[in-house]
Amino acid sequence: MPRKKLEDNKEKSNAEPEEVALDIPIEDETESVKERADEFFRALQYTKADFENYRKRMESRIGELTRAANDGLVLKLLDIYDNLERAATVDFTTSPEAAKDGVDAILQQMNKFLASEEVRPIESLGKQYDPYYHSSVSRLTDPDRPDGVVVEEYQRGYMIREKVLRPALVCVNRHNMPVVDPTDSEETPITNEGMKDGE
Amino acid sequence: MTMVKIVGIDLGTTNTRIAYMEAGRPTMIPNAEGKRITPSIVGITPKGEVIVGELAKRQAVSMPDRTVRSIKRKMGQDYRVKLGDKEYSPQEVSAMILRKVKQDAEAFLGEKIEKAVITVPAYFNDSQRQATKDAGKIAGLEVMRIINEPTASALAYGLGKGKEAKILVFDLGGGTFDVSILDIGQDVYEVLAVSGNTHLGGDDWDQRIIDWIASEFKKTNGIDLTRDLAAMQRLKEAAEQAKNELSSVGQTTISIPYVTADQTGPKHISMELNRSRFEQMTDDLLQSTIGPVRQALSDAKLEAEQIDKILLVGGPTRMPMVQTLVRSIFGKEGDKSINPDECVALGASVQGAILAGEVKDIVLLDVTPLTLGVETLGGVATPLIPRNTTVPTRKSQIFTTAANSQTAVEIHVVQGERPFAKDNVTLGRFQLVGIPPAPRGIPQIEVSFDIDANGIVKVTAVDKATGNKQGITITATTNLSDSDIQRMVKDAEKYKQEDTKRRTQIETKNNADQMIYQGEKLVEELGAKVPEDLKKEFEDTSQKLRAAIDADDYDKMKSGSDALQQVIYRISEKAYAAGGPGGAGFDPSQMGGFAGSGPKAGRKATKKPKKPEGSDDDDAVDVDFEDL
Repeated sequence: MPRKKLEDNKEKSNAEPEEVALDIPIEDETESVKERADEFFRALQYTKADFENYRKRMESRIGELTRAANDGLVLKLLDIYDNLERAATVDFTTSPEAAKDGVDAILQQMNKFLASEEVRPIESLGKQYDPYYHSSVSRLTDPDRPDGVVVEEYQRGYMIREKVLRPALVCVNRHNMPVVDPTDSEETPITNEGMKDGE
Repeated sequence: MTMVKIVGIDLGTTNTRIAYMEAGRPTMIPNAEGKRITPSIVGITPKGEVIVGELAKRQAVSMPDRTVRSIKRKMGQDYRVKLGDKEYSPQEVSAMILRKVKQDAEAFLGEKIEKAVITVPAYFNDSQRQATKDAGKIAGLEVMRIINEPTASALAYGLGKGKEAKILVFDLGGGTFDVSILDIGQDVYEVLAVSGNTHLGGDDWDQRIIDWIASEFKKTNGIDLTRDLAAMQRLKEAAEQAKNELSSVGQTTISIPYVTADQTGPKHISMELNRSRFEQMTDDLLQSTIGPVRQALSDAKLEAEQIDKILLVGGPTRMPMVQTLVRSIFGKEGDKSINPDECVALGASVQGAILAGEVKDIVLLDVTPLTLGVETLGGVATPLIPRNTTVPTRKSQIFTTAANSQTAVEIHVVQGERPFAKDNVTLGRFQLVGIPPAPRGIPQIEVSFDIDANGIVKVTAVDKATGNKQGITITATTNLSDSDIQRMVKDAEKYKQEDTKRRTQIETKNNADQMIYQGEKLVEELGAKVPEDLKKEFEDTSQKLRAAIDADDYDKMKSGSDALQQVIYRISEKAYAAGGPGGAGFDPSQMGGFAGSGPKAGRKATKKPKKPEGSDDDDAVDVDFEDL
C-alpha cells in the first residue's frame, strides 16, 4: 500500500511539480509506521524483561519448594535419628540383647519410613544382569552357574516409585571373556599411545 | 526470530553435555536420567541394545568387551573398536553418544533437533575435526560449525563483543588438562597457543584420597581394602564427596561404616581430612599444571601480566588450590562465575543461537546492579525493585502517611543493599504536597518506579485522593563502577548483623508509636465508656512509653509497649462488657511491626524526634528535589 502511494506520488510530482506538497501525508505515514515500530520494540523489550524477571522469580520459588519438600523428609528422619541417639548411649556390654533389640526396632522404623516413600529393594541375586538395575563392580567365571547372571550383591539397589534410585552393586558371572585382559577391568579398552598433545 | 533450534554440544572425553538458547539465555538440557551430564561411554548389551552414559558405565566392569569409553582420544584415527560382535569406527561410537543427547534433548524440549554446534579441543587437527563432524552427521545432526572448546568458554562469558582481549582458558577436566590462549578481536577468536596434559584431571585428585584412606585403613586395621571391589567403590564415592566438600569447608569427615569385617567383627572408616592435608598430598598434581601454562605463554610470546582474563573451566577448578595457583601465576583472580562444568556447552549454544540469527543486539537487556527503593518511617530503605531485575520494568506500591494531618511526604529514592537509607546511595528526592489532612495511615500514595531499557529511572508519586502527582527522572543510576557495586553488595553482607539489630530497634520504636496512637484512638472512640481509672492508667502508661521513645531506650520501649497493650486489652474488655460501639474491639496484635510489613512514607508531625540524618520539616510544602 504505501509503496503504491509513493509511486503514484512520484509520477504526479514528475508531471506536475507544483503538487510537491503531497509529500506530507507520505511522510506522516512513514512517521506513524516508525512510531508503531518503536512501540512494538518497546513492547518486545518489556515482554522480554518481564519474562526474565518471571524466570528469576520461578527459579527462586522452585528452590524454596525443593527445600520445603526436603524439610518434610528430614522431619521424618529426625524421629529415627532420636532413637539412634538413644541407642548410641546404651552400654552394649551390660545388656547386649536389649541393645540389639533397640537397633532392630530402629531398622523397622527405617523400613516403614522407606515404604511410605515408595522405596523398595531391587532383587538382584540369580537374576540376569541388567545395567538398568545393576552396576557391576566385579566379574568372575564360574561354568557351573548360568552366564550373565548376578552371583553376588555388594550393595543393595533401590527403586523409588517406578525409577531406579540406586542400582545394586553386583558381581556378574561371565562364561567366556574374549580378547580383553581381565586386569584391565576398571580401565577402558581404549589406550592412548599415539595420542599427541596438539598440532 | 528463527524457530529452528541449534543446540550446542560439548562432546568431552569423559562426559558430554548439551545446551540450548532459551529466550536469550544459554541453558543446559538434562538427559533422560534427569542429569545435566552424560558420561561419554557406550555399551552394547548382550541383547544387542545400544546403551550410552550412566547405563554403559554400569556394565563397563562386567562387559568390558562390550563397552568403550574415552573414544574421543581416537577421533580421526584409523581405528576400530569391537563391541560385542561388531566393529565400530570412533565416529560411529561418538555418533551413539550424540544420538543419545539429541534424543533426550528432543524429549525434553518437545521438538525435533536437527542442527548443532559441536566443540573440540583447540589442538584437534583437520581429520579429527572432520571425524567429529561425521559423527554428528551419523547421529542425524547437521553440524553447523565445529568450534574450539576455549572459544566456546569465551562465548559463554560473553567475551568478544567488540572488545579486544587476550584470554587464557585454564580447563582442568575429569581426565584432561588443556591450556589455551585466545586473542579476541572484532568477532575473531584466534588461538595463539595450546598446551596441556591429556592424562591429568580431577580423577587424579580423587585417586589420591582413595589411596590415602586405603593406606590409613591398612595401617590401623591391617586389612588391604584395595582387593575388595565393593569397598573400593564406596571409598571412591566417599573420596569424591570429600574433595567436593573441601572446596567450601576447611575440614571434612570421611565416614564409611561397615566397610569390611574380619574375625574380630565389623570395621568402620571414620577419618578427618582437612584442606591443607589434602593440598599436601596432591601438591605434585597441582604443580604439574604450571608447566603447560608457562609453555602456552611462551608459545604465544606473552608474559603472564599481558593476559587480560583467565577463565577457569572444568569442575576441578573449583578446588581453592587451583584458584590460588592461578592467582600466584597471574597476579589476578581467575574468572569462575559461570559453572565450570557447563561453560563449554553453554558457549556452544551461544554460537548456535548466533548462527540461527537469534542473538541480536537489539534486544539485549540489562539488569539493575543494585536494589532501588524509597526511604520510609525510621530511615528504613524499602525496596521496590530488587537487584538483578531485568529492565525495562515497572513497579508500584502504595504508601501512606506517618502522622495525623500530614500534608506532604518526601520521596527519597535510594540505591543499595543496606536496610537503612542513609547507608545507601541517594539517587534523588522530591516532595509530594497538598495531601488533604487526614489521620495517619489513611492517605494512599502510590509510588511508581519505571526503568526503561537504558536504565533511566522515572519515579512518580500520586496522591490517590486528589490525583496530585510529582516525580523525577534519574539518569545517573549506572554511574557506579563494578567495584563500587561489588563493595556495596559486600558491605551489606558485612553489616548484616548490625543492620538487623538497628532495624529491629526501628520496628520496636514504630510499634510503640503505633500502639500509643491506636490506643488514643480507641479511648477517644469509646469516650465515656472507658472508666476514669483506666483512662488515667492509659495516659500514664502511654506517657512513660512516649518518654522511652524520646530517650531511644529500646528495652523500655518493649516493656512499655507490653504494658500498654495490657491496658488496651482491659479497656477493650470493659467496653465490651458495657456494650461497645459495634464491636469496637481493638486487637493490638493486629498492629505488627509495620516498619517491616507495611511501609509508611513520610515524617512524624506530632513530635519531632532526633533523626539520624538531616530531616525535613513536616510542614514543608516546597517541592524540593535534587537529582544526583
